[in-house]
Amino acid sequence: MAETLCSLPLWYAKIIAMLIFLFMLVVAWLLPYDFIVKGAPDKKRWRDLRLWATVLTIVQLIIYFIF
Amino acid sequence: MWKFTSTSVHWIDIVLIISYLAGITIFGFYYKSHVKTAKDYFLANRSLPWWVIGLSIIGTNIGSNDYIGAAGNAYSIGIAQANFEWIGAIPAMILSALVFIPFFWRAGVYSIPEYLGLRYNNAVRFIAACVMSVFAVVIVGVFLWATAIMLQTYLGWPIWFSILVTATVVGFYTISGGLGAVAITDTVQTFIMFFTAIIVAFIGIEKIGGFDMFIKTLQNNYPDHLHAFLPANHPVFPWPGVILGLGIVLSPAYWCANQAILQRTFAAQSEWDGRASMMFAACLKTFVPFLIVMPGLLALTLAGKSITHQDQALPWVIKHILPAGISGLMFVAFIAALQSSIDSTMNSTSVMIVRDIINVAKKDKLTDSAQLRLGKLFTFIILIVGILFAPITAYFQGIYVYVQYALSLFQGPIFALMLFGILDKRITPSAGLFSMISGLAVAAVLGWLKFNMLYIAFLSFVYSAIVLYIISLFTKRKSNAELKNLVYSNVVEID
Repeated sequence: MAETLCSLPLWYAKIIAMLIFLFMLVVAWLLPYDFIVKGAPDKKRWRDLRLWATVLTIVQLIIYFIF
Repeated sequence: MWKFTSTSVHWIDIVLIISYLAGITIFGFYYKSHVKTAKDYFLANRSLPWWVIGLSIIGTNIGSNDYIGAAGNAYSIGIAQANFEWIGAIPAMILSALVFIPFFWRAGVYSIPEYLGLRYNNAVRFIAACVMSVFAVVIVGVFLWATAIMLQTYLGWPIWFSILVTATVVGFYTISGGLGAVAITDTVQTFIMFFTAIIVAFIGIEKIGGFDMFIKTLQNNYPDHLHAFLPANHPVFPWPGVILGLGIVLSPAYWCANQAILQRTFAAQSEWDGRASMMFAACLKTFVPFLIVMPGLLALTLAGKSITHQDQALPWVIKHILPAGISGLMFVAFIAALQSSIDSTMNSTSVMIVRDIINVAKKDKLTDSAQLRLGKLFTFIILIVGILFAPITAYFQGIYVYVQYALSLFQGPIFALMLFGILDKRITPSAGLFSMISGLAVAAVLGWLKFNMLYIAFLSFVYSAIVLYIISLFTKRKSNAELKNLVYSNVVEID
């Protein structure tokens, strides 16, 4: 198994890392809105933490695309 | 043991450092009046807003070992070190914010072991608290030693004097002000760290000849330092280990189950504030490599490979790049990094010792005032033991790797209990206990067999997960009523 891993090119690692971020984004959007904003003092759009997760993920995808 | 070369320091730097230490001490004295109950001391009376907690999380996360160790690793391996802040943090922080924190907050717990006690049983709670507490005391020693080396090098202070000064200041406001003082000072300290990092990066890049020259130098002379991942046969950070061990196990274990990190989210003023705090921290985390990786790359670009020990990269930057005043600011940021980590570690460990070890072991439960008194006493004891342990750290090369290695020995099994305990109500208390004990043993054996720390974390996690499910097939699970608000399929509102 170790030899197989060693033979894989480094871009495999980048792809896997990006897939992990995308997976987390999917998980975030699968959670219901009411669950996400529970306890928030108001229902303003920016309280939806799934939007925060989306911005974070896009930034990370750009970083791993570049490096 | 490694040493830095001693040098002189400008009076402006001394003034800055002393002003900072005095300011923090005065604040601790002021905040003392806010603490009247154990809940005030351990959870700041559940009054903290999301942005204070978010900044405090980052302050706690960035330790003095990061400043020296991560800059050193960046000097040696390049931008791959930033994986600890990106793939090795952010997915787990999103998971923690959206899935884990709501359960902890609703359960009203003071600590991670307390949650494990509710989900499994008191034996699991007790063992987890013992293991985490021992590690926490060790890490206090590591933080103190790293700072002492820095202060000895640049201020010429003797090692013991450096340790005592930093320990006295941090001990004063942590013991008197509890988590509230810790969180607010962390916030100030994180501002200082980011502000200083921006100035250091600006001055360093100017010295190189501009950003284009900085990138060009790295591209031409050190192209391998610009890759996020290292080959699979790399001895310390092989990419499969980084993704499997760090990304999938160590990082979620840290961000979803580390007491020092999560305790402040238990103190959030609402469930949403708890979640938002971790998400805000994840936003800040994206820029943390700017603080701790950049100095290593600046040292590489300016000094080439002439620095003999990688942990000297940051001291080299301070000595050769930063003018008087800015060096002092860097020292302040460095001391702030230490204090924001050590204060959180001490406060969160005293919670575990008082509530999860003593209170569980005692027949007669502790009163609120006894918990408050013991909390303060054990915060002090942890500090003293950390001071005594600090010199032992000197015998280990590469502070950062050493700390991560210690973490890898118990994070896998504990995270397996947390993750599957929250997601699946079929997991039983007996399975939790056996999985944790045998998982810790497996991690120890893998460590003894000299496995890479990243693989130890992954393999011990997989082992514990399998054992959890096998034992659960033959043992009795808790009822739905007992698991109310503790597992995902049993979420009940608590308005």
